[in-house]
Amino acid sequence: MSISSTIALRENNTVDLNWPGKVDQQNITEIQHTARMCESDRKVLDQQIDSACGRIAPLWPLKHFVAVNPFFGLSDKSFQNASDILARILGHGIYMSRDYYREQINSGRICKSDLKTAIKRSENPSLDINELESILNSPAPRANTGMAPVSKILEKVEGGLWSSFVTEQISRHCAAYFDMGQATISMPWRNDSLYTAWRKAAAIDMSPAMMGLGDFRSAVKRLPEDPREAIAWAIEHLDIPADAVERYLHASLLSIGGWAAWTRYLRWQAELNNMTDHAIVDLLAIRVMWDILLYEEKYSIALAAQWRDMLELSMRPPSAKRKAAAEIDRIMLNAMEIGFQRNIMDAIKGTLEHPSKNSSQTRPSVQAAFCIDVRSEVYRRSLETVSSGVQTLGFAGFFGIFIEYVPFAADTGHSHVPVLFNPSNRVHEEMKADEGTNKKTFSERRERLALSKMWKGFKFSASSAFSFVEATGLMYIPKLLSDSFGWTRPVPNPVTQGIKTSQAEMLSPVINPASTCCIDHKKSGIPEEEWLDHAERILRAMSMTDNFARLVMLTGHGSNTVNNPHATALDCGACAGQTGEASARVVVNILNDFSVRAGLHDRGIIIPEDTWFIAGLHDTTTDNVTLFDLELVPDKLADDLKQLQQWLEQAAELTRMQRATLMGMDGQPNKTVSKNILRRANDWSQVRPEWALANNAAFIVAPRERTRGRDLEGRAFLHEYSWQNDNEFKILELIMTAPMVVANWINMQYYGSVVDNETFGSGNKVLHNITGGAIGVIEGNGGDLRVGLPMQSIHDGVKWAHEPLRLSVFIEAPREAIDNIIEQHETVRQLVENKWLHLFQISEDGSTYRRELSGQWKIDT
Amino acid sequence: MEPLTNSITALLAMAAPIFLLLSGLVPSSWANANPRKMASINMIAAWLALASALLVIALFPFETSRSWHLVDFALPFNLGNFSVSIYVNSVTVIMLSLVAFVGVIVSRYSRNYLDGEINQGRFHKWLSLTLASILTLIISGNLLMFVAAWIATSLCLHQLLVFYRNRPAAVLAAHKKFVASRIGDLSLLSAVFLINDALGTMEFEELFGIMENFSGELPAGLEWAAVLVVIAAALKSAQFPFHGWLIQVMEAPTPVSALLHAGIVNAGAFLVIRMSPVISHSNLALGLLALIGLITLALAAMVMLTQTSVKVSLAWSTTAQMGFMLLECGLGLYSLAMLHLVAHSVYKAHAFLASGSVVDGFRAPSIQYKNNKITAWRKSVALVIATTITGITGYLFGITFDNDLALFAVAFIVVVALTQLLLQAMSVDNQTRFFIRATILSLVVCTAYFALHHIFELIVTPSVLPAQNMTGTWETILVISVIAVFAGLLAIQQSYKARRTTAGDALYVHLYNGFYIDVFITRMIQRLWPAPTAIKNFGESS
Repeated sequence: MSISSTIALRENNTVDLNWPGKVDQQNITEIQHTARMCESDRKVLDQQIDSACGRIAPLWPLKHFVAVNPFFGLSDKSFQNASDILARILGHGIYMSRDYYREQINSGRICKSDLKTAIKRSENPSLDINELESILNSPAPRANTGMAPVSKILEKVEGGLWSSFVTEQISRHCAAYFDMGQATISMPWRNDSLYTAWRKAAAIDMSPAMMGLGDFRSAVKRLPEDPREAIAWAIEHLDIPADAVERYLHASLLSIGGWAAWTRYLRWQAELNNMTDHAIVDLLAIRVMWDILLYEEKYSIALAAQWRDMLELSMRPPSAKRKAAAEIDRIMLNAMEIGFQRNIMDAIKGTLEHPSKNSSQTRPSVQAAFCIDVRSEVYRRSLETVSSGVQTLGFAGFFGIFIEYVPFAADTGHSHVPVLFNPSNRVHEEMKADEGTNKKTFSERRERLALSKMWKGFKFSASSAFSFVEATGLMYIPKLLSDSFGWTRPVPNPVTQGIKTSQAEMLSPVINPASTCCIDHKKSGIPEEEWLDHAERILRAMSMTDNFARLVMLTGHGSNTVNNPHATALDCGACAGQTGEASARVVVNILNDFSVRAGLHDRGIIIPEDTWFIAGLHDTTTDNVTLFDLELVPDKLADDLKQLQQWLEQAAELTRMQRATLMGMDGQPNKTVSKNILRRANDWSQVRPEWALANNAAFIVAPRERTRGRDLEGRAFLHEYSWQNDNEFKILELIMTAPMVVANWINMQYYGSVVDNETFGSGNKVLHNITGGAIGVIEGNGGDLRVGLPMQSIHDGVKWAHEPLRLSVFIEAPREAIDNIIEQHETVRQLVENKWLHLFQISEDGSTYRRELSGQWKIDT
Repeated sequence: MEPLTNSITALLAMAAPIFLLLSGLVPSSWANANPRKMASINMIAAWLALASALLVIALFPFETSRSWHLVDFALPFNLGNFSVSIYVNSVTVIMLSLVAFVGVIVSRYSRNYLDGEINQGRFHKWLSLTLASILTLIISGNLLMFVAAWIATSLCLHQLLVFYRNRPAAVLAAHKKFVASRIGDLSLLSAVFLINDALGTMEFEELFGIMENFSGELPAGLEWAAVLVVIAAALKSAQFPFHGWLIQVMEAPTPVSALLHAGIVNAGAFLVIRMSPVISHSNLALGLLALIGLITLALAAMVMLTQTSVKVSLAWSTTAQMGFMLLECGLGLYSLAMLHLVAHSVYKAHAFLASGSVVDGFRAPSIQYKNNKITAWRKSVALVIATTITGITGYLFGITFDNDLALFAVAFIVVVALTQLLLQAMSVDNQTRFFIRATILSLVVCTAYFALHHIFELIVTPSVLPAQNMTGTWETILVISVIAVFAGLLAIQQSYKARRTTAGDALYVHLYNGFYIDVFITRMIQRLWPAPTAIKNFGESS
């Protein structure tokens, strides 16, 4: 396809050449360049384009925002290499400033011995600690220009606001093209490719002309139709040296990094379905076209000279001085991490005996499974404090069931599985009522939703918006008051919109085919013959195969905030940015099934007759836990249930008291804290409703006994695992390839948002302006789409609420087993060996071994 | 008893801005050091101001107007008399409680929203001062005092707009507003002196008295004054082509946008209503006002439809709504304009403060609507029903069109709106049951509209001087233009739904870019009076 269009273009141009009359110089050079580019060159360039696109991390939309490792595309490089590459593009690496690290020394967070250990492990082990401190007190080498686009060089040459103008133009084009429904009149070329749509729009758009680029519109018409062709042509024309091409392309994408991340997301989704999406290449082409068009129209000797200089400078390897400076950064980061790891190791060390021995003897009164999320750690600790008979465990919050969940009366569903996977079953939500009631409520809800859509159309139409204001605007007087006091929500709750509260309480996922589902009736629900397999797989993965309590609670989690663009970022990442109760309820449903229990019995998992599974939802904002389907709980467990509910309430209060310090409410009595936290959840002006996963730093894969009773300060992901029950280490393999990767993503999202919020974070919440309906936010008027976390999620106004540390992973399993998995999985190997995380093994006696770069395990003290 | 209530009313009206002024006098350094306390002071002051305003409503008999002189001194060269005086009529009372109410909501909101900002204290200080200035503007009984408050409002707001001095876009947008405001100030000040020159007074009350009994040809000076007032109002209300700053001040925290869109841009319409004694005599001024309003609303409403970010879309909507309000003033429909002002304020304040909730709409159960094609037959049905509903409801509220063309234009606008509502219903769901519900809703909307119109007519009429001699031809042309514009808006939006055309595609690009007017204006301003450069982030290490 692309080859034939190349030929077509060449032929066209040749014809052009033979035309009598004016042929401008530019066209001739263009043809020569294209002609010079032979087949193999194109192949190389195609690879470079694909590789540059692969460097970008995806961005999930706000309607189901999940954490992403912003350095995802660089994980084949070492942490330091990635930092160097980014420094060559952005001008700075991915470490905190020297000021920050110095403060950590002054405050005692980094102690001398940790610093010494860090130096010893560095490439400069003879470095004197005093020398290090004096270097820290001197200013770091100045930031580079990096690999800058033409617009930035042009700004240097002649002044003006070219960079922001170009960013704005591209960003607005993308917003219009990808808009999910903010605009009433949408861009007409949304069926064309992003690049083609741009060529069509740019041929009409007069903004560049207004900025003094008189020839822009006609120049756009002359551009090659194929984006890769266009990129090839521009690269020739901009005189990019061969070795700089890939970096130039990477830099071009990063200069419009937010939308690049969005197009990368579209490709990610397509690839999950074995397809591909080329919008990211189109975006790259648009970005590069702006460079070449600016370069040509604003060409001057000064511009060309500075452009050449910039290209040369950004390709120079780091100087000795910069290398030394990077070594210092590395030592400081390591020292901080060593200090943190020491705390974890101290906590584990106390548990000398093999833990699983004493646990299996007595039957716990309740077993409660929570998501591995660091917020669960605090709650679990509280629950165990409240009652020593409760056994808690951690597991990925979708509880191993791969569902797409369709809300009641909706036509489409949402995936409720980690974004690395595709859902395999579609489960519908229905009311726990007879078919008649269901059908009636179903159509009522649809009608209400349709009415609200119609009303929205009335409110925002050019011809009716004025009458809307005069007839109904005064209704906003009481609305403003009640929203301001948190009595009402500014807009209906999406979960319960169009349905009464009493009806909403009756909603539940149905694992059998749904009666209200109309189109693919048979495809809904989970086929009964699969139930047993799911049940066995899930229980084994949770290391839950014997000694079941009478009540076993599976607890998903979700947040509870209003007027928060990033609300879904606080929900369960393992459920793809949704709340976790649906998955928990589905699994519980299967596990309570009589025939499933019988089947499990045959497969060696004996669940006592009096055991009942129960689903819950942990509200991470208020720390309340809601239980579901209580009417199904057998009567003889009524007392146990009552007891559990009491414990949950006490645990919630205890958890809130612990979180109160971080919320600036220390010293207040329990009741006040509870009231205040609830108020924050309903406050439309609250920018810090909860601290979410801030300060996460460890991932511990071990039986709970290893950490029970230890205060891990909500900094650890806890995954239940006992290797003795893991046949061929299949479960360990799963943990290291999925939950560990997800934990690394979350950890790196926080890391990136803290070290460089400008590039990898989303800036100030106070200025957020939602774009494209539910795609993402821009800051203020315009500019690029923003990725990552807002400042308010990581900073309390005085200090950082998150310590930027790489994840420290502690696994209790034989070292060879861990090594084998590292060897077999390239992604895992990269994470470990390229230093994107630290790996430790917990041995039977509670001592820990650190995995060194060489692959050797060394006992750590 | 009467004089006592009287002076209490005056005291209360005056108290409203004074509470906020006191809160605003707290030094920035203390405020920044104690942000929570400063936020509370700001909030208490706002509540007290609201309480005062509500008490004024309770005490004040709506059919009168009163004024009180406190301090009086003459300007040199016979330029006029500056006085601190308070003028209370129904418009004052409505505006006072509206702005005080918005002030309470915005102050409450900022308290948590800006938590952790280094300059939160300073923010509350300037928020208090901005509110104090607007409230002063509202109660001003003297034209010069009015101008002083007018300028103070703009200067205080400027401090909020450049809250993030390190953001170049914030500085540029604020600068654009600064330039537009200064031209506006100059126009208004000149108008005031011209009025004093012609009538020998700077008191609103006396002005009203004189102009009420005035008839015949308006002196040139007053004609000019009326036009200058229109210019000042248009600049304040972000009218075409000086609307750019309003679109771009999203560079300030959300509550500033809410306050600006709910309590400040509408000062343009308030000015016109206050100046109705002069403007109502000038067909030139009224015509100009209507024309500016009509052009702005037509362009801005279309541009709004194409915007892709929530706040920018809301800002274009405000520009359009302000245009509509000025159009109503230009047609002499002051009471409708007043209704529009109040209703729009609270609606837009809510829309901005709740702008973080847009995502929720996309998380709600998604339903694939059929997007039914609407046949010509169905369109006519919608039009007929809308006309019938409007006609009957209007008739029941005693609106007759035979002698007032302006009311005819207004009724037509309602017909267009209801048609749009019904068409919207048809495209979402084509069941009869749904359509009936939509029709009932139309009836409710229409009734609410005429009822409110009627109530505001009763309240506002004693406080304004109605348009005096709107002549036949000019008014006819204007009304026909209004009808054409609204019919056009409906048609264009429907045609975008129906099919694509090359012209439509091109128009889309121009609309999306707001007709490039702002790019042009920005370049002009940057050439003539460049914006100061942004202060580099102090957080960066040296």
